[in-house]
Amino acid sequence: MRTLWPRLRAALGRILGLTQRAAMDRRLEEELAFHVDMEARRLIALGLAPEEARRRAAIALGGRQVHIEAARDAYRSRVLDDLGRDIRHGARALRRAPAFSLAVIGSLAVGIGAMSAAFTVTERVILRPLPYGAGGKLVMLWSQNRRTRQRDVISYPDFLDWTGASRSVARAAAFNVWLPALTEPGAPSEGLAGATVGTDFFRVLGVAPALGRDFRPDENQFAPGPVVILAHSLWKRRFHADPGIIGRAITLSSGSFTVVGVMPEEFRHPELLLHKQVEIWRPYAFDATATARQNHFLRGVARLAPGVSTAQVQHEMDAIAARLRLEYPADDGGKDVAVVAIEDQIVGPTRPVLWAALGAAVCLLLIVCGNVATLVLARHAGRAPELAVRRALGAGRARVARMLFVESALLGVVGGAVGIGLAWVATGLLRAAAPRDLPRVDEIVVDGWVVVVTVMVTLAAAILFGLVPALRASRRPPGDLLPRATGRLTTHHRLRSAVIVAELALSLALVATAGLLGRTLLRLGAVRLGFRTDHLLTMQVSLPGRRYGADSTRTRLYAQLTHGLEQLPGVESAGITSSLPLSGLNDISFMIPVTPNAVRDRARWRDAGFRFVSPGYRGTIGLRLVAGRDFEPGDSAGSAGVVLLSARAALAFFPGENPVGRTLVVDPDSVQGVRVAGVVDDARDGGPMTDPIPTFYVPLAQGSWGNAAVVVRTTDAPMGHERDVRSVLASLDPSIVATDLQPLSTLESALTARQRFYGLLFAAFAAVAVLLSALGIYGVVAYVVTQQRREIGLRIALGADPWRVLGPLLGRVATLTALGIACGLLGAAAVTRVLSGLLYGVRADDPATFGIAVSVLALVALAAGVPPALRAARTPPAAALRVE
Amino acid sequence: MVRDSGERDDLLQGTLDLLVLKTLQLEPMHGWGISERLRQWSQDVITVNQGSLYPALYRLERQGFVSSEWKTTESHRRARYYALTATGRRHLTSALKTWERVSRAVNLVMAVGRT
Repeated sequence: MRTLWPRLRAALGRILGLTQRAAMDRRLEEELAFHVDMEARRLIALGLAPEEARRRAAIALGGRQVHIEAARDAYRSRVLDDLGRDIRHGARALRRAPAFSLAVIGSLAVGIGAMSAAFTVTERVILRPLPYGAGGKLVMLWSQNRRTRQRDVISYPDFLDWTGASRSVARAAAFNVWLPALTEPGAPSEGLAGATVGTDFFRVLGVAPALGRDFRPDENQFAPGPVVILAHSLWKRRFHADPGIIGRAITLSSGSFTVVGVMPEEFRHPELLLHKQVEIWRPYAFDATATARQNHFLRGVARLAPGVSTAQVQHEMDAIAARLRLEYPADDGGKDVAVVAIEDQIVGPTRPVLWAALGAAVCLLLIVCGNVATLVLARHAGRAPELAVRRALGAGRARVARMLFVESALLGVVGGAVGIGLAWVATGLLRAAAPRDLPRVDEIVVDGWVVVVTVMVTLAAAILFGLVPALRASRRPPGDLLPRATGRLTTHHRLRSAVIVAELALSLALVATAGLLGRTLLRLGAVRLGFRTDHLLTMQVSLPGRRYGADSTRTRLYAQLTHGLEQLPGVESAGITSSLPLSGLNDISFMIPVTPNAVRDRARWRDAGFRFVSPGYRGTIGLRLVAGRDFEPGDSAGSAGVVLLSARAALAFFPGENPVGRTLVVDPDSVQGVRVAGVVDDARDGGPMTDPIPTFYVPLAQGSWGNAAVVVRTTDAPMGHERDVRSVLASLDPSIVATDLQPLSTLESALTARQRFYGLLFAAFAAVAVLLSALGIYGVVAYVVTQQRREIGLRIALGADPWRVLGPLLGRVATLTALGIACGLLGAAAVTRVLSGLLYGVRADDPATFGIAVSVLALVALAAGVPPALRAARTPPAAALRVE
Repeated sequence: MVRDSGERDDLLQGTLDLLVLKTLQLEPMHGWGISERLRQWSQDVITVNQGSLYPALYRLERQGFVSSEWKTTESHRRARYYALTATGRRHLTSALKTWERVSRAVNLVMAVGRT
């Protein structure tokens, strides 16, 4: 390094000539000033008045700028002329070798493009600060199941106790899911993701509305204050960015709200709902039941006091939670507090994957540089006679090195430019293909910062693959560069060997990663959800509160709706549920006292999910009845309360007993028991990667809300029935808002979208890496045998066994392959461990996957290395002798 | 490698370079000193414009015929002094020989018919 740096600096300085230029200008200025001064003195000595002498001396000097230009030309001409000549010469030389140029530019573009795209994603998603105000750290507060470590929502009293007793929390706000529909007249209604928030919510995040005002503390009333704040995107999309929106009333499914503010463009809610950005906020209002301690439905966000770390506040929360457990032993429910830094909340599990992707891209680029360097070295070696003639004619070492470097730099510039283009295209594709719940995915754009980094990377790459070979080619004395007849199989192959080993190692790591993700996808596809997702159309409906305030009106409407839908041609059945499976909205965790006796003994309460469902729901979604009977139209508001239990719930509530016909208390506020009508299969409502939660189902006629999801089983493609379904709803009541019409299979694929996306990403990386490895091995073997065609041909002509001649070379390739695979196994072990959170049903060190990856690479090495060697072995001896 | 491409076509420029090298034969000198010395030696016939002198000096330096460094004059001013390098000295010697041969030839041609 110590010897390389001055050399690099000198070479670059000579090429740029810029520092030199400024110094030369200063020097000339001083010399001219001195000259004028001396001339004036001479004239004074001749008897002129000092003033007149200075005037004449200045006139004699003439146009100073002209002199500067002339002098500049004099010292600069060589540098610039030579550089211009080198560039022209280089461009000509590259045009004469199109295969070489295209191979280099192509692989550079792929390497630089991949690296820029990966950098763009990493910078935008991980490195760029979140759009929240400065100050103490921001954390999210969750409850966490002590046994399963699963995070869950929290109750309002818990939130108040935790944040109130904590000294490290400076400010905190709770928020909840809100799914209103926007029903402005004259425009199609649209289902929005929204949040009901504490009035301090935006002050906790440290962001003020860009337009209008924040919520006022007095707007947090038990009667909802009808005000909302809009996201910039919603304001732009639905209200044409009209600044007059402030103070205007807008119509939502739940009534009319006055817009008081619009958030800044870059603001993002800390959480996605239904895979969508939250675009509307209103202050929350709680009634008494919502504030019960066992009623978990909120998320908490807190701003810590300056200097307090997440670990410190976690420690404090643990102590507070322990105290609360003593105070309310019945409400414990086996839950701890989880304090999660907001960066981890938003970017969390994505971070290691993106770092891995960036690391892979950087390795890819390094390998591209290595490959290109071997190509360039081979080309220089092929040009040995030309270089020898140049040096013999008096070209200096630096001159030759510069000529060669300029050629490489040209390749680098073109490759870099194409690479930025590729990165631009790739990030566009990423934005489109990435799962919608990938954090900050809409922020992924190539910007000036990325271009700057890419230019720097390109320069570094050009130095790596251009300068080193150029210096090496120019180092040998002129005579040495003259062609020599013989060569050894092992001269100057250290770099090439290292490149091959690195390529194979990276390829193996990537192939193994892609393989594990592929197997994960296969396993996920094979998971039994407990219900069917095919041929199911789903939609969300919200009933206007004024007309459907009473349970009976809702029940009647839901019955009419399912009846109407079932009359449609191509519809087999229809059902209604309070929350759709796979929608991510099953976070209502009720703890229920299982038996009337247990109501007072809260230690015997059990965690459970629940749903209100219509009689047709179970059959429509394909949930199997295991025991007992399904709901019937007779299970009405007037009849005895019944429930269906999931198999796990049955096991949890009635271990070792037949639950059918037993009674159960599901409402903590009442000792009224409900009868278990039947048991249904467990359903993985959270998707294939989650465990089924114990769930009980309540007939829609015995409980419902103004929001529900409709499921329709069709005989053919579900979306073909969209219009019919909408018209049935409109004929019943046009004021009912229907949103999010989509097949249930769409929701299912959204849940595995990350695995598919990362699988594709790593498969693409793996394919490129394998291709590069193949090229690299092929290139090296082809180069070596071409260099030694004469020797190989002669030896075979003299009767040597071709395999004996080529054996050492092929053996060396085999050794390098083995070495590369060994290094790759180590690398793959590290990478796949990082990704283990994404894997399902397959271990991060799955031997089968690794075995396949190793075989693939061994085959690739074989396929790339043997053909050129065989070709050399078949060289007719006569051709071999004519080589030079 | 041809180092002085484009510089031979201008006879006057080549001559100026030669004159400048000649003034430096005895001792290193700054720009003004060179022009003054040329003026004195040519008995006021040759006055070199700065616009030609400094480019010539830079060119010669770049070609390796002269080297330069900052020094202090007798009057304690900072000035850039130019000195002949070994290459410059060899170049000057061979250029002087060429010059003598050419100028003698030119003189011979010019002398024809004068007697």
